[in-house]
Amino acid sequence: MIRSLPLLALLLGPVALAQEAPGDDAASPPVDEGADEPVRTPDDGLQRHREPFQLLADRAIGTTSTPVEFNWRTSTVHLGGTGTLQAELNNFNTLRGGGIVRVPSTSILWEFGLSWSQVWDTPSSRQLAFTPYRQPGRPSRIELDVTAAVPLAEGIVTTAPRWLPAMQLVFNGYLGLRYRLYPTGFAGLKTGQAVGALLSPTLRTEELDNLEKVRPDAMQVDPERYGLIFGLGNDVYLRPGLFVSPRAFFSLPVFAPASQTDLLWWGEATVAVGVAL
Amino acid sequence: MRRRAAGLLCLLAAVGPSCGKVPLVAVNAQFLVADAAWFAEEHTLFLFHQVEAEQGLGDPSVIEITYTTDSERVDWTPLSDLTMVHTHLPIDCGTHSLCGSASIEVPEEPRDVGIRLRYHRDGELALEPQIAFNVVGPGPPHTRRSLLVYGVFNETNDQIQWRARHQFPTVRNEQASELGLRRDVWVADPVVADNLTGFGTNPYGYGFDCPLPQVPGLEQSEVSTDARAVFHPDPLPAHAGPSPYVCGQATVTDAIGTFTTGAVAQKNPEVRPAFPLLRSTLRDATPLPFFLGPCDRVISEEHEAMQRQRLQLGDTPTTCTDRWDSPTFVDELTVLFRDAAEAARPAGNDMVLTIALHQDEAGVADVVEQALARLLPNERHRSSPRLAGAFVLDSTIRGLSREALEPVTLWCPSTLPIDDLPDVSSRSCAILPDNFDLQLGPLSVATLPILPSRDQYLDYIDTYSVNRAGEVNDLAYRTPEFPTTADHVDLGEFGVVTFLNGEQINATPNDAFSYCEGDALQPFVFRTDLLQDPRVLDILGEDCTDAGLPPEVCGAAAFGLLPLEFLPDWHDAFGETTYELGVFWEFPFLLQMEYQVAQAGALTAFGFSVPFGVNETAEAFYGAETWSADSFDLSELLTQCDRFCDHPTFDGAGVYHVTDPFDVTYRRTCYLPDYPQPGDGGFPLDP
Repeated sequence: MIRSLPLLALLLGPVALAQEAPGDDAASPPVDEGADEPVRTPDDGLQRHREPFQLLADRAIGTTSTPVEFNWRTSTVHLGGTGTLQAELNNFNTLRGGGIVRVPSTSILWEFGLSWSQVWDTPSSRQLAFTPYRQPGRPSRIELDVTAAVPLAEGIVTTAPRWLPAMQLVFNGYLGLRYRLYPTGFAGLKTGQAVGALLSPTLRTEELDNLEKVRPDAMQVDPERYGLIFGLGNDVYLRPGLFVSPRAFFSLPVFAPASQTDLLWWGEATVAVGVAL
Repeated sequence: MRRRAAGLLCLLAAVGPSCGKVPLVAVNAQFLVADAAWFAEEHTLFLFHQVEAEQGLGDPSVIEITYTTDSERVDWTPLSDLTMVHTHLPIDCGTHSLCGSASIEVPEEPRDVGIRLRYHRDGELALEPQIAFNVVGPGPPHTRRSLLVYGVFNETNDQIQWRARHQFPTVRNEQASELGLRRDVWVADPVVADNLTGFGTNPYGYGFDCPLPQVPGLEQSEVSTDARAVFHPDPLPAHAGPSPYVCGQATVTDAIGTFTTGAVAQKNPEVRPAFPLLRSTLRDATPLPFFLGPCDRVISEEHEAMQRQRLQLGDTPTTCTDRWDSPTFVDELTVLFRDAAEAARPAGNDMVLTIALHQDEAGVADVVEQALARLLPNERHRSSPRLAGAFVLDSTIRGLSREALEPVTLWCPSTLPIDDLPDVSSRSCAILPDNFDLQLGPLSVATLPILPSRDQYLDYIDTYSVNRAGEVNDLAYRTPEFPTTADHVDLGEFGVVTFLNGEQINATPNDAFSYCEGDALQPFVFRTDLLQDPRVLDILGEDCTDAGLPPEVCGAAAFGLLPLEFLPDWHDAFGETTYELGVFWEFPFLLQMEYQVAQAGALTAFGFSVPFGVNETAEAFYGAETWSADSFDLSELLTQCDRFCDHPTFDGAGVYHVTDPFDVTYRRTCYLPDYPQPGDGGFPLDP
């Protein structure tokens, strides 16, 4: 840790300067109050980049202290299970369960997820089925996720109750692509049609027709096949490599004009539990 | 900081409405078909429905009906809860549609008949359309029953296909099948029948009283189906061939039980080509070559070489024309031509005079015309071997000046007349007076017609060389061989009609003809005994133009000839028994020329020209293209029906037009029927 501090000071110096407050006297050059312009010293050019050592140490304390509890960056792969409560802002219930594989790198944690999303009626949707109205939704499906987790803050935290060991906490920002596969959607399609459909942002008419047989009665099947999601969440690591990762995801409907989806701003809460190897 | 806060507020304002709950969407269901009909004779209420919705209708959606009679009231009841009289197949109309049919036993006339879509079998909301309800009262079976049975035959009229046809007030036959309705039908005891009447009001003959079974009978087994058609597996016996009808006992089911009545199968009109092939034996005529030109002087060696090459004259000696203005020159030339023809005649082939006229004096061409005019018209109508005509390649763009030569002589090069209709010679030999020549700075591009004038030729080769002027590879004259019995009717300026070898169509007054009209004018005419009657000719002469017929038709009618397309109507009106077939032609031979023509160019700089070009092989026909084939296929042009001609028949799509008998419908319409055959399936096209 000690050896890396000078290096961090050099790397983070310019960043710190950009975030510097205008009224920070410690970083300001000396000013002659009796003159119109400040008195320039010979090393005035480097003075702009100087930071107090204590400030640099505070800023890097989280990253540089990772080896203290668990260094997730040095792990090879993370395996885990996930559970999700999805809120698509309609009248159908959706729960999701599956698994993830995470591959860490220096600055990004790559996640690959495979889940089953189970959808079923609520009392409200059952009542809706009695009427000449339908509500957009998605039937039960397989979801494939490719997500990049970018650590935004991290450090060692103490826990309560106190008999629990200190934990490594990483606060992540997420950006990912979610791809939906409907098991009965491709029934009756020729191989060429099915391959062509895989890349289309919307479901084909044949797929929508197939899903009519499995959708809840009050549902109008939403045609979106894949879309972007973003989110925030924490990774809490225990010393042996166990991790718990609660996170919240939201849709990012940048593909909506092409996918013709009616489900624009939905969200979900996910908890992932696993082990880093 | 304030700017960022304002931007965030704007973003929230834009996104905020979208963050709300997902809205509900109306399914927009509507009935496309909501029809009902009650048949008093069958005690059956039929219902047909088709509902479409934008968002799809699921299994929970149900169709319900209600009706009231004098003795009961049936409240809204799902169709699936009712007992059906007939078979109704579940129909998959697509994910956004519900459709089907139903048949319910209702002994008394219903009223207040309703049909509706309940969106969900457990819900209360429903869509109730305006229903089309009809009552069909008692009456004859062909109009008052929901299904009639009739028969049709295969192409050879020896195998019956019994058909069922739905007849509902508002639902078509095929639509009823598509909505799942199936009826059980069986036909038994077929017998032949010769005299059945009453097809006028009952074109299918359903409900006719069939005659008693005859001895020997047809001995055919009973056939049944729940589709709309079934072929009887056994062919009719040979002795049933002359009978126009087969009558069977058709049984159908209804709410009361079964209903049996007579059903009739009408044989197809027996049609064949009236005259399948009109042969006109074509022969290669023998060219009689002549090169006419001055012997005492030279006009142009290059031009003479071109004329000899074009007409394939080779070393044919020059017939001197230096004394063309002598009073005896025409006689001498005539004798020369005649001697050549008589010398070649024993070989047995028709002949064509092939003359290159190398001249630069006005009057020479006229002298040659005079000689030809003395010889050719007299040979025009002779039987083979004969001097069929002449082909003259002149030195100037002149054309023919004698009408007598127009039907027998090609005089090239020529121009199209401005005021008169062009004759065959003018049409064949016409060229532009000047060569096509495009100048693009030092580059020039030009083409030369294969039969040019001397001025055109010399001007062309001066720039582009003789090698780029093209050449004739082959020259052949084809003439029809007229037998000694050939009869020619000269129509003057229009041409000639030749009755080649006594070709005639024989018919009985009850026969009927069909002429298949096309875009091209067909060169066939007919004549009959009645057409030769002077009184008829007078009537034709007076009324022809008033009837708006073209001049060539009226011209032929004045000679007792009519185009073949009038034969069906003529026979229907007068029922004559013999029609002689003739061929109309304008010119006695066809000149077929294969040649190479050059797309030539030249690059000129500093007084020098470098020619270049691309040679193309081409083929040209001069004269009458009538003689391009030695037979004329009339098999589809004129067809003749000699039995059952007043029966309905099939069209090209296989649809049976029961109200369109052959003898009336197809006189001026192509008859290309598509008959049913075993293996076609049980649902023929029967709108």
